[in-house]
Amino acid sequence: MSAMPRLLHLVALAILWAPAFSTAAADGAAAHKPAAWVDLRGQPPITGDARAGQARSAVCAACHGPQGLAIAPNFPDLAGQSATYLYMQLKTFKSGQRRDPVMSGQAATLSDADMRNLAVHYASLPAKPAGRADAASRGGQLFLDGDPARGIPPCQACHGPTGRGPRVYPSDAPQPPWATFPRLHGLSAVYVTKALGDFRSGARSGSSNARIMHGVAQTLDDADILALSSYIATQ
Amino acid sequence: MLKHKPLTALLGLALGVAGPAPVLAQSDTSDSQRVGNTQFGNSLDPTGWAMFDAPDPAGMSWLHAGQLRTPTGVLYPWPRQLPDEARLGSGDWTYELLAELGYLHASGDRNDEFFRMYSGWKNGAALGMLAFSALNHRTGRYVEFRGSRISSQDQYYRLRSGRYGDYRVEAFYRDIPHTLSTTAYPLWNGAGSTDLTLPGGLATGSTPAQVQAVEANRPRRTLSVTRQSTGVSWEGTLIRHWIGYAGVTNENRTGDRDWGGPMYLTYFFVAPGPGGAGTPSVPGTFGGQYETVRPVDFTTTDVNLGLRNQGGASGWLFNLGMTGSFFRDHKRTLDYAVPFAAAPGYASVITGGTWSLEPNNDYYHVRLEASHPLKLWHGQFSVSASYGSMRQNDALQAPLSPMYCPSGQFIGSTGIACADWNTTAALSRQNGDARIDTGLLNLRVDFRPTAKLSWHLNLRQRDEDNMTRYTMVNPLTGQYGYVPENGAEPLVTGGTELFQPGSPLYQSNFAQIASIPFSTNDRKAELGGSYRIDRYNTLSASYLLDHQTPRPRERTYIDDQHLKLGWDTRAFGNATLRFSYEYEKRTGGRYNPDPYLAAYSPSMPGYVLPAVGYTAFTVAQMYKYDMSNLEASKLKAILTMPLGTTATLSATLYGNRKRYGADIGRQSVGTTGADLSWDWEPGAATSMSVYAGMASSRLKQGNVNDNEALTFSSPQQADMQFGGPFYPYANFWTATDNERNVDAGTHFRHVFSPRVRLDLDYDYTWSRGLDSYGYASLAAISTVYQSILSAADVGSSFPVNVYRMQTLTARLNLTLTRKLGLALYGKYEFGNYADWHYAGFDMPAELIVGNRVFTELGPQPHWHVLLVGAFVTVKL
Amino acid sequence: MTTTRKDIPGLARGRRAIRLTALSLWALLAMIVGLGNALLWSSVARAQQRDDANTGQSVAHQPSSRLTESDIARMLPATDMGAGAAMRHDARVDASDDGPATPFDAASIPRNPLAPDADAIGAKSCAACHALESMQAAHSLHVASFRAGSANSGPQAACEACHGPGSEHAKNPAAPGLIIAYTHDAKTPVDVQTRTCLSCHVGGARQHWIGSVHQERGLSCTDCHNPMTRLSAEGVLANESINQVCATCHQDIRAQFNRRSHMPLPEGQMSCVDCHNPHGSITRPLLKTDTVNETCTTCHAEKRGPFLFEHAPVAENCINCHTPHGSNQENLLALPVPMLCQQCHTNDDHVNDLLTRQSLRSGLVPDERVMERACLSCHSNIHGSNNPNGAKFHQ
Repeated sequence: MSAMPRLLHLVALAILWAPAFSTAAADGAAAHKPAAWVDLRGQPPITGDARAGQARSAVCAACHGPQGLAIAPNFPDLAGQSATYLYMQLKTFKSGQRRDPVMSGQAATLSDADMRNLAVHYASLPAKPAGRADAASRGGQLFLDGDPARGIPPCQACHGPTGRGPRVYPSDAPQPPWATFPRLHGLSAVYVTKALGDFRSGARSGSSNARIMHGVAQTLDDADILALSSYIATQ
Repeated sequence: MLKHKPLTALLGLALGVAGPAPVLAQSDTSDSQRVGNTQFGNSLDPTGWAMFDAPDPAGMSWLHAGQLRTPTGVLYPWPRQLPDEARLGSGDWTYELLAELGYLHASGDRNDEFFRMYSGWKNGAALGMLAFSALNHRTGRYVEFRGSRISSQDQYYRLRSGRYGDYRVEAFYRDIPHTLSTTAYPLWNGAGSTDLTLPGGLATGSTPAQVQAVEANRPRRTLSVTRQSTGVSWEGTLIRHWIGYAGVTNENRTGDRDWGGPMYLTYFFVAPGPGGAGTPSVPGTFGGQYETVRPVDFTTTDVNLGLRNQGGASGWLFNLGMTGSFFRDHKRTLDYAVPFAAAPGYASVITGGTWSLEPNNDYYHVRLEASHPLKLWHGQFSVSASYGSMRQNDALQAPLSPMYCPSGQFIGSTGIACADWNTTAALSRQNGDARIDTGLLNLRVDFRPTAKLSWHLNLRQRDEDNMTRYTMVNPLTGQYGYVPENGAEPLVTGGTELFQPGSPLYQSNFAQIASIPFSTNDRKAELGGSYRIDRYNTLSASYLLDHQTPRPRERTYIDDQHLKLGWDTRAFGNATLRFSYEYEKRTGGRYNPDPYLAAYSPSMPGYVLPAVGYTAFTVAQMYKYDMSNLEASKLKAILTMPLGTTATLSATLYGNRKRYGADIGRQSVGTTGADLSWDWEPGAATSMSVYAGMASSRLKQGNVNDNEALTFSSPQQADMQFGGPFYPYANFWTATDNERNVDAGTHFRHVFSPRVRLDLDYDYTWSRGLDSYGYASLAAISTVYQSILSAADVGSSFPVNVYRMQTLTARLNLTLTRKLGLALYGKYEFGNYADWHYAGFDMPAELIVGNRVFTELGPQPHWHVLLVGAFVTVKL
Repeated sequence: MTTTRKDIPGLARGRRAIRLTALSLWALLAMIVGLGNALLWSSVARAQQRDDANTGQSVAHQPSSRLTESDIARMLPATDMGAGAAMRHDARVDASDDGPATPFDAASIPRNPLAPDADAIGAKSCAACHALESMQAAHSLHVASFRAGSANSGPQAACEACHGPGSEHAKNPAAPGLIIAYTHDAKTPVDVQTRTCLSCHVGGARQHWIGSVHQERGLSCTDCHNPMTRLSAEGVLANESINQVCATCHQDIRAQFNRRSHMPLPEGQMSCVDCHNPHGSITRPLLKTDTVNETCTTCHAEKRGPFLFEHAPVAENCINCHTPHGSNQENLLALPVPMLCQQCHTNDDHVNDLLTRQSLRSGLVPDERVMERACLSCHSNIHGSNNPNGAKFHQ
């Protein structure tokens, strides 16, 4: 009678310990591959040292300009961009969820502190002055109202009515990671066209935000992208 | 007869209508309208859904982290990983199939009553889950099947099919086990049948030692009942805005359970032990009590029809429901032979007893509900009216069994001839002819004059008409009343419950001669309302007057008044607090301690009051707790508090105090309790909860022993007054039931990798019951014990009752391939139990106590049991 | 020899009252049917007038988006939830009155009082951002049924039929109240939430929602249901099972099911909703039937009787002796026998003695009134006896 409970205990213990082994095995296998996507949904705004970032920015300036304004339209302006957005882009370039022939290599050498500092540095630079965007243009309509008949949501929802970031209200409910959403105003048409194309095709889908944009961009045709890019460039 | 026809008819109807009627349309179904069969699960998976509950790491939204909360503030669980759906053929159908097959093995005390109570555990193959669902995404047609089988006593299968928003047909089959005792040692042969016979060697007149010797070798049995139910139903739109429902369920309940068998009281005949006071007494050899085993063999067929309207042009919402329930008992009697002579020395003719088990009955009920919006103050008017009828007209059974009181014999020295009582010719009528009708009318108006204020008035009237009248009069003898306890009482004491005008023997007998047709009418009026003070606070209040007129009862009317206050607030951060308080006061008409005289012999012409009168029916100061005055307060607070974004704290605090205006009878009840739980859901991979709660309750009652010396010998026996000669203060006693419960546990789930998931639960429950008593003097105990027991023996309480159970449950899911998986299940349960009703019953021979035969040893005092299972999971 | 009828005063009165109720029931039914017909007629006439009015109106109203509510209506699947449509004077219903009912035709876009100017934008726009929600919802009964039959056109109303027109929200999603929301921080009043659900899920089991305790205490449909994903086998619940949903608030009741005797809820064989209708009923404890006893005897039909000899407290209310959820005594009894019985039975002779620990099997004077089934050893037919000798339930 007394042997039975003891045996039972042993069996129970065996069952409880079994997962420990399988976990180890499973983790070992998973460690080599980068995760398919980075979860930005719980990403808090980042902090960093802008001065240290500036010191590290010499290489960046080659393309993105000394004041964060790109030297050519195929490079994005970084000045005044959301620091958290910039940081996450560098991070995903480094870890492989976002790929670019130049940036993947550049980011590979950066430490986490470097990335933070650089992001904060560029965020602190003065953004490009506002342009004269035509709200009545096709791009303007799409940006501000979307096109319900074709299922296109308005861009201003997350990027703000002027492309300078979203409108935020206090709430107890879980909120989107606003700081990770980029500011769009004044980005070059070439760059925006490429970005939307990458989102649409799924070439850029390595973060939870990119997955949102994948859904959004799929509602757009080439003409929509063109219209939007030119509108955003004039914002 | 009746029970099969409606089934066939409705099945035909259901299939006929459901099949070729795609144009019909329907809204959501109405499961929460009808009693029963809303839940299909078992002990392996109480939710019936655990197999599918694999959280999806992607979550519910790309836009935010974690899960949203309900309006009250509880986190919604993580959504499940969407299943792989396969195409079925080339059409628009997709399907999903999951099967979990394996083996279960229990070791340790696997026969313990609590382990088996509602679980049909059996070593062998088990079907953890078989689920199939198919959906046509274009037409919305679907088929869903879910089934599980632990054993042939514990299984369910349910099929649903239909078209979204159109119609639904459902069919199910299920077996639910209920184990009542696993330690039964029935003395009789034929347990489970209608005829219990004595095992070899025993006959009426045996001695306790002889019976004990036989009982010691009786085999152990399990007493249990299985509910086997099947049902079909259909719900769909008949014409625009009108939705119909038709359903039939049929339940067979079979098995056996413990029952009784009176052969007159034995305790009267106790003698002091040879050691004198304070030593074990010698049980007398008169009378007899038999814990028998009764068969359960019921069929209940329920037919439900419904018709409702979805507020067409007229704006009326109708809801009509009709129910017919037909109960059939296939074993309506129980005969049992007895081993002991109720009165040794007599040429005893009472060698057994007979029971009438529950008669067949029919029940009909129709309810019509209608409501309509009112223009005034955004109001709504609603009315509900129903009519119900319960009927029973079974053939009545002869008062005594000719087997155990054969014609030609007489009962002891009473001169009562068995032949006058052992056939149905002894009855005033041959059938039950019992019927109770009920009617209900409920009127209600709700108003919402402003967005902040709402109020309602509800009037309800429910009446009962009990038409059952049965007079116990024997046409063969002209005698009223009955021969109690299978004839054993007249045999032992010569006493009867017989009355006969003009007969010197029976003209002064106090006897019940007729049935008492209890019924109650009820009027209720409620006025209530709520006011939203601001976005965060709402106050509500209601007043209810419940006026009941029961008959024939101790009071001609009772007025129950309830004042209820509520406060719902979100003022404390983002927590929700719901607080309620209720005050109740019950008063009523003058309390008449004996309103039943009309059913007793003194109300009959020809009754001759004996010189010493008749014994007081009861003590005048006793108030039955459903009739007595009452003052009660109830308080409850429920708090739901979000903690950060991933956790929730819930707390409940409650208490109630009831004071009945009685010294004799129930005096007071109080309950206090609190519960606390913490749920944590940091991500898709992990969830955890911890809970703990306690409750304690206390119920106190008073009673008074009668002065048995006066019975039948002094006119003072008729004195009903507490403190009088028949119910003296010295005989007063009280009893208090104190109960305490503690529950605690923790549930943990973690997904270690997409392939390995562990569910681990620990649950603890403990209860302790202490029944204590106090008394004015030892005159409160039976006269026969007064020479045997001292105050020290009596003490002040029964031994403590304890029930403690701890369960550790683990489930490990391993995904091997996309289609194949392995699940290991383990449950370790242990506990201990003590109930003073079973104190001293440790082995079968101890089930014989003097002239008493018991059947059960009661649940095991300690048990440990381990259940393990291994399952293969296949997903298609 | 004829039987004597023992008439108890008041019974005749009771019978009259019942007949009166039955009669009034029929009268009410007749009246309602008549009234319904009359109103049906007049509404058809009104509907025709309204058709003209609506055409005029739709020209005047220029929504900011290019997708009008009637565009969405046309894209709704050809299956139906058809509830209460005529009550809301929905133009689409009138238009389809001549054909067979299209099941979801009543799922119109509810008005959101906090965004009165918003226009419908269609589910495709919603799903562009709410892609995961859309995927999960498609696997819940609720949205799956919206999608059914709309494979070609797209279930355009699937989101806005519950959340109201989305154009304002789409432009400024974080601003509170711009869609009808159903979760913890929702700015939409609970009342608007429940009314939106009830506009389709009208009547039936929810006939008595208004004035029910859950309504009065400010619960929303989504406190118990989550139509956005499939969390339960059925019932579109906010947790895996009915019992878990109820226990989120009623923890004290859940704990009672852990006791020594209990209804088989922890074993998964029963749910709270087997007896209670959480949506409201005509009884205070939200029972599905008129009385406690009618609920209990649905399953325990053998105890329904009626019997020759009734036991007053049994016929009155099962709860007089049983605690329905769970008890520390056998058979859900509220107190141990014999104390349970001795609360009322103080008569004389063997019923009113103080019974003590010495009357246990292990005591000095073992007594049948205490051991094992105690009083019920003899009075086993305690729920009523149909035996002519069973006046005291011991035969």
